[in-house]
Amino acid sequence: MTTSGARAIPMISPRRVAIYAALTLFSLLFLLPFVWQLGTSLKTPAEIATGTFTLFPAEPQWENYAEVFRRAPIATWFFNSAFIAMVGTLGATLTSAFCAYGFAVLHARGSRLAFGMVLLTILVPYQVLIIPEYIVWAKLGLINTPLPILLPWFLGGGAFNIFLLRQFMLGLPRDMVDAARVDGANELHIFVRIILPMCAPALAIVAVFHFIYMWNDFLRPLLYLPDPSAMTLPVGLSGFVNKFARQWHLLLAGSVIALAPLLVVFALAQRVIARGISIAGVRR
Amino acid sequence: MQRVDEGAGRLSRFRSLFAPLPVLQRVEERWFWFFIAPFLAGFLLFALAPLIASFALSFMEWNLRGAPTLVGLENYADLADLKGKGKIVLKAFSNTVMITVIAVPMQLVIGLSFALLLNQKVKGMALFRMAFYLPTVVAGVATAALWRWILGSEGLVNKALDVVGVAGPAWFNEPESVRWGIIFMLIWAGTGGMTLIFLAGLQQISKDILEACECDGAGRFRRFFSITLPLLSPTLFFNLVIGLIGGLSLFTETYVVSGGGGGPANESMSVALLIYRLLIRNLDFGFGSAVAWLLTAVVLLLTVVNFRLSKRWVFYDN
Repeated sequence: MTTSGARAIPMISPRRVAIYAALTLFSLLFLLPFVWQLGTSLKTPAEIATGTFTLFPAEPQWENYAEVFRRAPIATWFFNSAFIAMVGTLGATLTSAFCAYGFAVLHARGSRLAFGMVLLTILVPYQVLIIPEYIVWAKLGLINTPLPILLPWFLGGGAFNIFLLRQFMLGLPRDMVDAARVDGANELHIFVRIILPMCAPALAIVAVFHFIYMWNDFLRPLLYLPDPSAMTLPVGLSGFVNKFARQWHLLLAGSVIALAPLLVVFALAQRVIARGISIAGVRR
Repeated sequence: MQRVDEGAGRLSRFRSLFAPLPVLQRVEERWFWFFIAPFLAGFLLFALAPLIASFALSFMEWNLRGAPTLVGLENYADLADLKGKGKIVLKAFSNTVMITVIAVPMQLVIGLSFALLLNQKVKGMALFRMAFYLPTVVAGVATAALWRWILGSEGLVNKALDVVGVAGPAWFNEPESVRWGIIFMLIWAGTGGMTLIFLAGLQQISKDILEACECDGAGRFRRFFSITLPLLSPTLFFNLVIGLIGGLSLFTETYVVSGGGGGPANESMSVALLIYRLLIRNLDFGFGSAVAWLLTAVVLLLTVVNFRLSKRWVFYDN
């Protein structure tokens, strides 16, 4: 970024104009669906049915949102989603940091083999494991409880998360760890008091990405939370597709409600997200 | 990472020459297993055990009521019976492979193009970057529902097609177009993540090499194909492997656009959706496990082949 002095100053050349034009065009194209979604969710059915193309309604129908809330237990689903996403994120962030400490700081025979197992879990899609998992949870009578969704995140916290935190911990200076050991601190103490605070930026990255992942997660809640009172927002919303098949304004209003928390997280955590991607993308 | 481990190994061997450290080392090893215990428990309970159990189940017949009965290779014979039970499996695999084989290369090419544009010292890069990435962040049921509307018969895409005088189909309701609709959706949702990872890779490439090359008189294209692309090949490989695994386990999008049925005419049935239906709708655990194992085998085989092939084209400079 800092090299090539004078050439770094952007000149208004046809080439640069073309670059900006292309970027603007494509980014608008990528955002257009959201704008159109918001616009449509505020239209009357009659307005949607007319063939003419308008982005926004003549008069915004906030009533559509009220109607969605009346016709489906959106608030309950929203609460369920928030609870599962937050508890799951807490579990995944803490346990993945815990395990990452083992891989990054401690030496042991077999540690490379164990780390190989971490990487192996990336290659096995969850979709192929659902049948035996579902049978066991069903036999235990734990369908419609959040346990089948949450427990796995408290045991290991996900391969990507362990990997990213291990990478980050390997980059930390080791002097403090060694000094603490000389002072007689045990590993648990070093982990909680020294490493964990130093990992705050990486923990933020893991937490943000995992929250997004859990909020969007669909297959697990679909399997384990079939009861309308236990559903998460995506599962409830997937039922809208049939329920409101011809009522686009309601379907899209529901979809906006499901997207809103993510948009907030996205807006607040932009820097964290950008940093996370660059760490994940550079080190494999 | 290999080198760090080797160095650490050598260091501990070096230390053990001087002090009576084996005790401390044994203590450290015990701490190691203590710290990774949660992962090991999770690995056993939620990866290894289900994998083995589904392998065992694939030789049985069971529907949750009675006891499972051993049926030998019957489920696998059913898989191969392309006129009977195996027909839908073949359909699901061919749908999934077709969608993956088209969508992932498109994501890679478009993602790389966006990253190259963003890497041109663009002002407001953060803004563009986030615009491309937003669809990836929110991808799920909500955006799949949105795409049902965009690709509906009166949707945004068909309105655009009207302008150029083409009558678009009702994408997700017609067998010929449903997979293309899913492919469009995946490109929109998946490109942004790849763009950001490519961009991170591009920013790692030393400007000195590119400038040296420019001084030697290499043109833009020459520099891209001789310098940028080889140096970016590990990033490309990462995106490819993750993209393919994601594509082969396609579920949410097909579930939402088809209302869970894989229709119309099974044209949007994906393998993961089929496994789900065999589990929840048909309660056909044995056959479902055989399908799951087939998918596992395909994913692992593909990954091994990918890693083998990568030795020919992926360039690691250290």
